Amino acid sequence: MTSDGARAGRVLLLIPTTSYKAHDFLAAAGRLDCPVSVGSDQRQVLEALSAGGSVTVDFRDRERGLRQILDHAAAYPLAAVLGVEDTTVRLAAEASAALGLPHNPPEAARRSVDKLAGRRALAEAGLPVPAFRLLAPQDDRREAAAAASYPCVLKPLGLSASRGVIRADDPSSFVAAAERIAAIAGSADTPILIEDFIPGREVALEGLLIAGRLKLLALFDKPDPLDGPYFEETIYVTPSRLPEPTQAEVLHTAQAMAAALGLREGPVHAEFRVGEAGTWPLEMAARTIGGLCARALRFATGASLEEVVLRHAVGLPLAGLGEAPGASGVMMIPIPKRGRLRAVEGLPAARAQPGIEDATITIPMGQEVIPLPEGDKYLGFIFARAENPDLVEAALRAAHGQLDIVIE
Amino acid sequence: MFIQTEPQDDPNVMKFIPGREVLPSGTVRYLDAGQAAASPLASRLFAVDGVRSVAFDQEAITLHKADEADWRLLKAPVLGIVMEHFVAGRPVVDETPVLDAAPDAGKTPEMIGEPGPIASELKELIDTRIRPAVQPSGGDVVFRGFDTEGFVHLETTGGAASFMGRVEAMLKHYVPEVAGVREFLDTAARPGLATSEGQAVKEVLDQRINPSVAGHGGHVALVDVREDTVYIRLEGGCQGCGLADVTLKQGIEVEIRRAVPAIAQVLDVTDHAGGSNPYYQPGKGGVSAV
Repeated sequence: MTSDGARAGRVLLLIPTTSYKAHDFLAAAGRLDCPVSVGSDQRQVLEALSAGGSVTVDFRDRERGLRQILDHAAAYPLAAVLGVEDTTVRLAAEASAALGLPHNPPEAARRSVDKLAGRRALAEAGLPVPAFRLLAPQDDRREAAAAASYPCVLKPLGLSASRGVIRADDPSSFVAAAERIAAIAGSADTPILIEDFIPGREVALEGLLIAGRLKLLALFDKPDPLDGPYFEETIYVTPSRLPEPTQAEVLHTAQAMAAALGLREGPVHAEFRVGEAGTWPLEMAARTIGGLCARALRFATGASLEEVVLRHAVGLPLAGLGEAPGASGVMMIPIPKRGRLRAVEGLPAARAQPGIEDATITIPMGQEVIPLPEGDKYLGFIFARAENPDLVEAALRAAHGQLDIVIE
Repeated sequence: MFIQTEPQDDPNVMKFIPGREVLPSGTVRYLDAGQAAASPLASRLFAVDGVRSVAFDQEAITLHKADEADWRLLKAPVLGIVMEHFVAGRPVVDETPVLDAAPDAGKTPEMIGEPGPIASELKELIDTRIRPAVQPSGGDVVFRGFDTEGFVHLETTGGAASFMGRVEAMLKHYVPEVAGVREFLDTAARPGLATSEGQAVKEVLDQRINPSVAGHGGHVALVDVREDTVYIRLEGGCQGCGLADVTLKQGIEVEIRRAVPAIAQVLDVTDHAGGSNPYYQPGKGGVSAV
């Protein structure tokens, strides 16, 4: 234990080489003066010089990855192990369990990254999940299509962030979607979750679990309709403009989701459909919001979301971490078409819009860009902050309107 | 965060554009450190030797330097201060003391070598053929002169550094007198690099770090050493790499501080948004762990 009450030792951040979050987590650690090691799936070029600052961890072979973490912990004692992406939360939970550190139960972490196991856990807990079934690789797609109810949504179990998620309105679009998903996943053996389409608007919740109790960090509206056939997320705005009782119901449902999955400690990002039929839980991940979206959040003390997560991980006080006043939001810039990105004109004009804090492109010029459902990258992000959510949404749309995305 | 620099016609004036709001409205100008007490950012900028005035408007920080000061020495610490300030989310101005317009504009920026037909030909080639090809990447190349040894001095910004090989080949092709190209800023005198700390840091980069990062197509350039701070620029595969901060914080800084205890921090002044071929590119999480 350190003088400020934090557990002694480093925080091991399990960061895949494809993560957007390395910079923000390391910056947060720097501001907190929190020693960290970075575990990643490929050997870092300066690992030998890093004095334990980076370590190679096998994320696919978790037994091997666990041994690598335990070896690292023997040389550099750990205060916490954090998985910052879906691909690492399960290993983080297993390593924490092995080291006796506060953590989510490994089985709960597994349910949080396994769409089918997650749905089953929520359904067994009595939560109103959409009707679902698994389309296994050996199943006949045409028979499954004939038996399905419409509209429905097909989701590959092995992909995340809306990749390969396609709505089907009839048997022919069902079969086409299943074939397209197999192509996206690169395998005809990809299991696909089939679930009823729930009409309504989507909201996303950012929270922190402390001994099983959910602390709400932010509730985001997603003002653009997500009705398919693909589900590209664009604008997130917080605080939510939903009626207070609806927000309370979302929070209550999120707490119930965490309990149903067995999650107890650390950040959660959950998504819901809210409509005439009530609040429907979709997914809860045991990590922070994806991409660079966390930069839209700032807490009353000026802390970032990553600082909040690190403070909790090492046992530092969390008082005074309500959201900063006003409203904020982020736009994940949509990829308008497939091709080679040649230029993004208008960034200075976008940044000059009232309320815009930043606009950044995250795909290098000259690279191929692919829209959903195949695409696996964000084109970029626009961040806004203003007095109220309406102004934030207007600022994001105005800034996006300044951009001329040249794709050949 | 990408901070653009924009030389003005007056060689003593330069704009630094951080790509985010500097002031919500109006302009503010501080003529000395005493006035700047109202601005945490201006106060820090006045601590840089040679800064004579600091002005803010909605999108830019405009610095006016002393005649004897050299932008090649000022830019790195100024960029470091501005970047640190905005990343930390500190206020630019606590209160608004002096309203003024931005400093005046004036003449042409500093050049190396003498004007002549070859220099004119090179400038035209760069302006008409090279810059239009480079600018869509978010970077730029500015002609800074042709020296007596046959080297073309180019000032690159953004991702333009990654085009230098192709630029050199093209210039040699069209102008046989060209022996090579040199980065303008790297040819400037930087006294910090001549100190024992500067030399030690350079040795660490040359012997311990760059041979390793070359394996990822990367390179770490030493921009300057001032007091206890090292300024570096990540190039090639490091520029825009999703794990560049891991390389910097968990590798470069650790090794430099171990070898040169007088160094307290290493600041990265790279324009990562201009990276054209980063080694690791982020994506939406890929295949889940299921």
